[in-house]
Amino acid sequence: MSEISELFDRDPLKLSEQDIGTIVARMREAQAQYELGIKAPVVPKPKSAKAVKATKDLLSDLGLSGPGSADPLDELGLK
Amino acid sequence: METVVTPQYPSALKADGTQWAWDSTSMGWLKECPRKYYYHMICGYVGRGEAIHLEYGILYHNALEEYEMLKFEGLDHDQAVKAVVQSILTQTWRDDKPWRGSADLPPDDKASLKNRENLIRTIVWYLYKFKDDPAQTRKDPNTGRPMVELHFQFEIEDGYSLCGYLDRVVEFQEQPFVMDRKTTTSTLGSYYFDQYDPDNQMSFYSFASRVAFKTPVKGVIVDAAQIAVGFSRFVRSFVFKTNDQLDEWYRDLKIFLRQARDYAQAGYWPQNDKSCHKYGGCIFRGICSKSPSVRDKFLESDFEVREWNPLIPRA
Repeated sequence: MSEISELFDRDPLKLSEQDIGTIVARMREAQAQYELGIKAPVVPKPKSAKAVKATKDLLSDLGLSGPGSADPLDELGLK
Repeated sequence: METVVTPQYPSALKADGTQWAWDSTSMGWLKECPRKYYYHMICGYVGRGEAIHLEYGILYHNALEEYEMLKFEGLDHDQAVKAVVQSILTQTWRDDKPWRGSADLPPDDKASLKNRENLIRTIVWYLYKFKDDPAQTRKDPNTGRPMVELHFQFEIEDGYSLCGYLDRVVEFQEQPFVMDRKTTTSTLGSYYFDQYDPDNQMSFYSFASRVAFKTPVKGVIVDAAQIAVGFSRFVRSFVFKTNDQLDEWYRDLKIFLRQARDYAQAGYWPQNDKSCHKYGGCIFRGICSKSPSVRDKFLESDFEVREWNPLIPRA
């Protein structure tokens, strides 16, 4: 049984101030771990300017970009 | 059907079954379906296991209120958090054992997420996340005390009263708002928050703040806590209310009050069979789908009787 489970199973009136402090500290550690997990999501590396230009040139060659059209990179999900 | 009452408090229902004291919950039932209102409010039926959500919410509210008051009395954050944890552990120690200990609950039931350990975790995480809350609790101009867990009851017209509790009145970016705290096991996305705009409870609370506390709020901040396996997550959303919207809500409320009186006087509350499958499905759907002659038997076996009296203060 973990330290925190053991504390939860005890009569709270018999818990010391230190025991309560331990419960709070363990909860906070779990929160910090959780926040680290969600604050560092895997994000795709942004495309370099060179790669973007090359893609635009290719789209232009294929006739997929023109006046009045929306951003073709966006339309094709490449952005 | 006999009306269920708790003797030490006045009943919200008159002898003829007309309700004179209304909270947002009972008004919500009526608006959803008169038959649902009848089963819950007049008969006092609640689903077995349904009361847990109410009790869990009350414990959560109590903890956050206690923290607020301890801070007001001069404790620092860490001292107040420890005192709140001790208090909630004690409140959830019943018959010499933990109340809703996770090990005692069925793991495949979503309601099991509302267990004792997760309650403490959600409180600790919430208090840390909002340690320096940009939404500051307003102080009562007369007493100087924080405006938390505010009971209200005021008369409107024709002998009707509106009553209930505001969780907290806050100042956010120099604008007053009611803050309403929710606990849920649902994911906190737009689907979850859409249910509150428009919503009877949000209008009810904004109206009550305006009338009972002379605080014309801009709306309600829904402060939701998602309780999940291994974590608790918090998201806030805003529901804005203009005076025109509140006037409209009040005008409509009076129509619903007249309808409720008519149902009570006729002794009949019709089904709104277009509501049965909404809001995750009505708890009485299985009853209403049966022949009227056998419904009472099923009600007695599938439900317990627990009076809903808006005049009883929160524990």
